[in-house]
Amino acid sequence: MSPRQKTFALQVYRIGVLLAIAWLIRSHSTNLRVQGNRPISLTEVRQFLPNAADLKPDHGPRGGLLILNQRKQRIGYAVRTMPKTRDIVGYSGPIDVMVVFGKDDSVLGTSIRQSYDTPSHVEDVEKSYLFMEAWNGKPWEEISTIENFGEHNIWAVSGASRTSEAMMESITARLRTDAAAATGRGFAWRWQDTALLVLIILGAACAFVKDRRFKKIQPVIRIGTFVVLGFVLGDLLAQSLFIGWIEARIPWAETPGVVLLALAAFLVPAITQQPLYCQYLCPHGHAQRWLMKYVPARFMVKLDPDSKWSLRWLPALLLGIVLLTALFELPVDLAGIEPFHAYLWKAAGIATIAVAIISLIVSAFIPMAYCKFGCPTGLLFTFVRRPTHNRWAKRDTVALGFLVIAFILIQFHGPIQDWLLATP
Amino acid sequence: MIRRIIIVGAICVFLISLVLLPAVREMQRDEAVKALLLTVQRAMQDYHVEFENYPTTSGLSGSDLIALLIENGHLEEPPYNPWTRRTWVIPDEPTDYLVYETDGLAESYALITYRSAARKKVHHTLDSSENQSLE
Repeated sequence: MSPRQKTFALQVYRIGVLLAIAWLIRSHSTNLRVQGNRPISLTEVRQFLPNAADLKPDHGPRGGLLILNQRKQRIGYAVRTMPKTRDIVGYSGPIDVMVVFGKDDSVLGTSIRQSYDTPSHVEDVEKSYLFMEAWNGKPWEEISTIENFGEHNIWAVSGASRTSEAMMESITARLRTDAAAATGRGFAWRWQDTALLVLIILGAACAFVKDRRFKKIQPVIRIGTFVVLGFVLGDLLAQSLFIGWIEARIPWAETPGVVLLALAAFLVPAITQQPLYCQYLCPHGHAQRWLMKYVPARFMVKLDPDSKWSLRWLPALLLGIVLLTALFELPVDLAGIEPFHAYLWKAAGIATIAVAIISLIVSAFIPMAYCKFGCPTGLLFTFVRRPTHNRWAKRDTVALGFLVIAFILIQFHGPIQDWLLATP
Repeated sequence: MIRRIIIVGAICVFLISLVLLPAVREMQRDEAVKALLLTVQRAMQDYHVEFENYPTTSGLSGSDLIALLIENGHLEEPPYNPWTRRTWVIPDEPTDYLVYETDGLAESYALITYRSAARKKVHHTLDSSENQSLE
């Protein structure tokens, strides 16, 4: 085998092992979802129809529940959006919404039953009474034919737009009794996608254009990228996003810009060795680079080799937590283990803000500390980066270990789950 | 090498205690709350068989309800308290986030558990008028 073939084989292995782990998580998640049972309960319905006494499945095309009173008279109708709309994805996954109709077939109320999105975003949507009650009074037929929500006075919730938009699309798709209509919201290219595409192109230009005049304007591009990607769009690549995509699906049609960003983050380093996302796009990387540039050198802390070696395990251990969370559906908000959601600070949780602040403080004294010793997402991009040598590295063994661990955990999921849940 | 192992071990302990352990504890608590609800539910059915209605006082605390069920022989012993991780203290359990509610005729009931003593966030509701799943 020539060195070039060895290098190619190593890269195929690395991409393959990541895809294999993703496939294991996906098939396991689907298995749990199919076997799981989340029927609408009478208690849930009673928040809108206190007289509800019984729920009967409707075998008609609407596929919901007839709500009956104590005299067995129909007083309403309830539907849940899942599993029919599991392909409609918010920020990182689908949303299960209950819609309750009155006797006249118009909406009495809606409630979020479950969401794969960031809990703080979901809470923002739930607390937006204007949004939650915007559906009330509208008949089934009207909602099922909505194409433009603004015309019906339904607007997404600021700061949780992707989650609320997913809810809007899920409700309309669920109410369209044609099953084919419930497969997504169709291809939509929005200004956010254009902005992301421009950022990717500018980042690629910074990586590949060696012209001196262009290099002079790179600081301006970095500031623009930091502001637009971090604070305006908030579409930073993160573990919570990838796990949501793996468990549900990749939202090619709904958020093509974010998908392009993720593709660029994986493929550009894999093909060219240039760490496009980490080096030229990631706002947290830019923030650390500025700290490194402007904090005087005398404040810098030099780590000894043992500490460096040990700390480099942290991103891999965080990936282990991500894997365990995905496989055992642990109540861990994955957004909280990374700093990226903190850039949308209004909707960010305390954990992600704490990680962002602490990582920046540490990075002020240890250059690029978070990128080197804390970032699980960066580790994934680095892992698939085209290798400069064709030797089997420690990270290849660790990745294989993750694959084996994922396989074993899935095989013994039941007993391990029982052991975890055993009350001491 | 020993120093490296110690540092990596410390990182593992830190991550487990900060992230994994609280998550597992939350799962265990959730499971234990469901088990408590199911235990009380079974006792309530026995109560109903004997008295042909459920306890008539709405708004009973978990302690009061459990004491009543024990007194009438429908619960053999105090159940496990998921919030203290000890056996329920009768008659006055200080950590009690369970509430019993019934209708005017005591023909149906709901067992409601809260996340905290403030009783703002409902954790689980078990309603007798439906075959409700706690899964």
